[in-house]
Amino acid sequence: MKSRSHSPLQLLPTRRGFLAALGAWLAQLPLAAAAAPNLEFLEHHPARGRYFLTDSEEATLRRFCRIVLPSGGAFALGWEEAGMIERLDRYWYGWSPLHQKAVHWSLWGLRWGVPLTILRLSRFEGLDARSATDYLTRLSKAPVGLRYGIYRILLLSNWFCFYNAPEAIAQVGYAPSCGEPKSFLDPIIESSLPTDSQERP
Amino acid sequence: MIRSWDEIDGDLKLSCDVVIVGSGAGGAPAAALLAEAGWKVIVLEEGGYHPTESFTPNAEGANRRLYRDAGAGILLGDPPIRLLSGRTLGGSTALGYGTAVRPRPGKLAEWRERYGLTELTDAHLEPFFGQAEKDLGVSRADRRRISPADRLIQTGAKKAGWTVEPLQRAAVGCRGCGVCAMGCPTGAQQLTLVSYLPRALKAGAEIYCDAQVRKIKFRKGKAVGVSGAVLKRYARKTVRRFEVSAPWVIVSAGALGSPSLLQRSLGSESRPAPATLGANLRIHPTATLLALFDKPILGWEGIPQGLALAPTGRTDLWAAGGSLHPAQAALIAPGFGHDHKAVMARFASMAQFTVMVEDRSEGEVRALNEFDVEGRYRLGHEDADALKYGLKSLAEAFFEAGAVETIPGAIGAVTGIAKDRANALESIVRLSSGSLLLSGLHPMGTCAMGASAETSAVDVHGKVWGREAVYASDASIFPSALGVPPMLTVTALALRLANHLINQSEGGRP
Repeated sequence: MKSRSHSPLQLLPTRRGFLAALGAWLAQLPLAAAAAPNLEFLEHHPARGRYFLTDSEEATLRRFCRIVLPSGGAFALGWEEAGMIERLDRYWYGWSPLHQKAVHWSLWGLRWGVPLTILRLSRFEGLDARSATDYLTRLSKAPVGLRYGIYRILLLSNWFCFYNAPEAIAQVGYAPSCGEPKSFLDPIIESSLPTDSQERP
Repeated sequence: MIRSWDEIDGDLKLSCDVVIVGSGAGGAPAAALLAEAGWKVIVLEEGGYHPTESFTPNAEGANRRLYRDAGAGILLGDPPIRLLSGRTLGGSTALGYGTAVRPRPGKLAEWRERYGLTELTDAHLEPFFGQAEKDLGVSRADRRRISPADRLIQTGAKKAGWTVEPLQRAAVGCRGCGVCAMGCPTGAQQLTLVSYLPRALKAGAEIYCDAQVRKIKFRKGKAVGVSGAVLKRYARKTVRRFEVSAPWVIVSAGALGSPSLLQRSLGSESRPAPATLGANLRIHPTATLLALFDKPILGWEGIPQGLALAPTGRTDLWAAGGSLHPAQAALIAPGFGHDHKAVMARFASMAQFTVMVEDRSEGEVRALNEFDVEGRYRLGHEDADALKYGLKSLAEAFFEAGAVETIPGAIGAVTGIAKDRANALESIVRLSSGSLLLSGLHPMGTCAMGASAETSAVDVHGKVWGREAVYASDASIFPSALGVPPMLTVTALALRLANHLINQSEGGRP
C-alpha cells in the first residue's frame, strides 16, 4: 500500500479517496432507506449478543440499527453490509491524521449517540419509555461494554487492514511455509538451546 | 460416517447407547473408547466438518470455520476479555499449538484437599495420562524447529530469573509451519480430527456435524437422549430437526456450551439444577507482549510453543510463545493509521509472547438462547498485578535477548525502548488493569467437580448431581484453574470417564 505524506498538495488524493469512499457509501443510502432494512447480517455478526448485554438490549440494538444504520452508525455497526471492510482495507492507511481523528471522534460520538437514539426509539419505535430510560441509565452508569465496543471498533479497523488483505499481509512479509523452516538463527543462540539434562523427563 | 447439514435430507430420529455432545478433547476420546468397546456411539457437533486439507493460513477462513463467534467472543467486565473457543469438528483442539502438558505438581493435591476430590491421585490418573500421551504421540518439541521467539527469549529469560522448560506437544512429524492456530495444514498436530475421531469412526461411531443440541431429555431424573436442530453452515437457520434416544448422555460442549445446555435442559425440570452450574468460570487470562528486534527474525516460522517459561518461585504464571497472524498482531500493535502502520511494517522483526495467569478471579456464564451465551468475568487485582508482573518480566527478558523495543498488549500502552529500559519496565507496572488487552484461552470450571451437590455441579466422574446418566466431560469440570493448557488433562479425564462407564456396565457392554 502506498504511504502518503501530509503536505496539502499530497493530501489531495487522500481526500479524493476518502470522498470516493464516502460518496460510494452515501450513494447507497437512498436504496438502504427505501428498502426494508435488511438486518439479517446481525444474525451472524460476531458482535451479536456480545457488546450488548441481554435479549432486550439486543432487541434494542436491532431497533437502533434500523434507525441509525442508514446514517452514521453504518460505519460502526453495519460495515459488513455497507462494504466498509474493503474500503478500510484500501483507505485506512492512506488516511491523513485529520481524517483518522474525524473517524475516531465520530465513533466516540456514538457513545452519546446511542442513548440519544434510545430516546428516539421510545418515540418512533414504540419502545417502552421506561425500558429506554433504564437502558440509558445503565449505559451511563456502566459504559464499559460500550467504551470497549467503540474502542474495539477502532482496533478492528487495524485488524481489517490485514484481514483477508493479501497486499497488506505481503507488505509485512508474512509468508508461512510448511516446507523446511529456514535457518535464520545465529549460532550463539543455537548453542544456548537446552541440553537433554535440562529437559523434563 | 460423518454427515453434515447438506447431506441430511430429513428430520432424524436416532438411537444409540451413548450420545456425545461435542467432538473436542472431552468428547472424542470417550467416543473412541466406547465405540471400540462395542457401544453404539453418536457424536453431535455444532460446528462444521473441515478436513485437514482445507486448512490454510488465512485469518478470515480460519476464524469463520473454526472459531465460535468468528473469534470475536467477549466476556463482559472491566476489562472486557476476548474469549476464544472452537466450533468445528475437533472442537478447541483445532485452535491450539498442540501443547500437551500434565497439571503442574501440586494441582491434583489442591483439588483433593480443597474440593474433596480424593480419588484424583497421581497414581489413579497415571494410566489415563499415559494412555492419552501414547494416543496423541506426545513428545518434546523438536528443538531444531522451535520458533525464533523461543530461541531468542531463552537467553534473556535465564538472565531475568525465569525457568525454561521444553514443552511436550501432541504432534507427529511437525514441520514447524507456525500456523497451528488456524488449523494444522499438515495433519501433524493431533487434533481429535486426526486422532480419536478416526478411531471412533472405524469402530462404528456416527458423527453428525452442524448439529446443535438444544435440550437433554430426562425421564424421572434420568437422561434418555437429546434433541436439537441441524443448522445451515455459518447460519442460524434450522434446516432439519433431530432426536436421539440414548441411555447415556455425555456433554462435552466446552465451558461455555456445557453449562448452557444443562441450564436450558434442567431449567424445565421439577428438580432443581445444581446451584453452581455456570458459576466458577476461569479462563487463564492471557496478556501478550510484542518485542521488536533490529533485524528480521521471521517470527512466524517454527513451532510457536516449544518452551514454557515461569518466573522462578512463582507457580501462578506460565509464559509461552505464540504465532499471530498479522491481523491478530494488528489488534495489539499500538496506534491507528500511519502510526499503526509504522509498527506493523516491522512485523518480520517482531517476536510475540504470551503470559497467562492461573486465575483466582471468577466469572459466570448464562444461556441467553440456543445460540448465545453471556459470559462475565471480574479480573481481580491479584491476577491483574500478576499479569503486569509477567509482562514486565517478559519485556526484561526480551531486552536481555537484544530487543530494541517492547510493546505490552494494553490500551494506551507506552512503547518501551531499550535505551530507556527502566522507564519502559516501570510503565508496564503502572498500566491500569482495565487497559489490559486480554484473551481468555482456556475457559473452564463452569460445571465444577466436587464432593457435594451444594458446592459443585458434577461428581468426581463428571456426573451431574441429582440426575442419572448424564455426564460432563470437558474443561468445565475443573474445580479451579489448571495453570497450564488443559488439552491433555481433559483428554485423560475423558478416557477415565469412558473406562468408568464401561466398568459400570455389564461385561463392558451397555
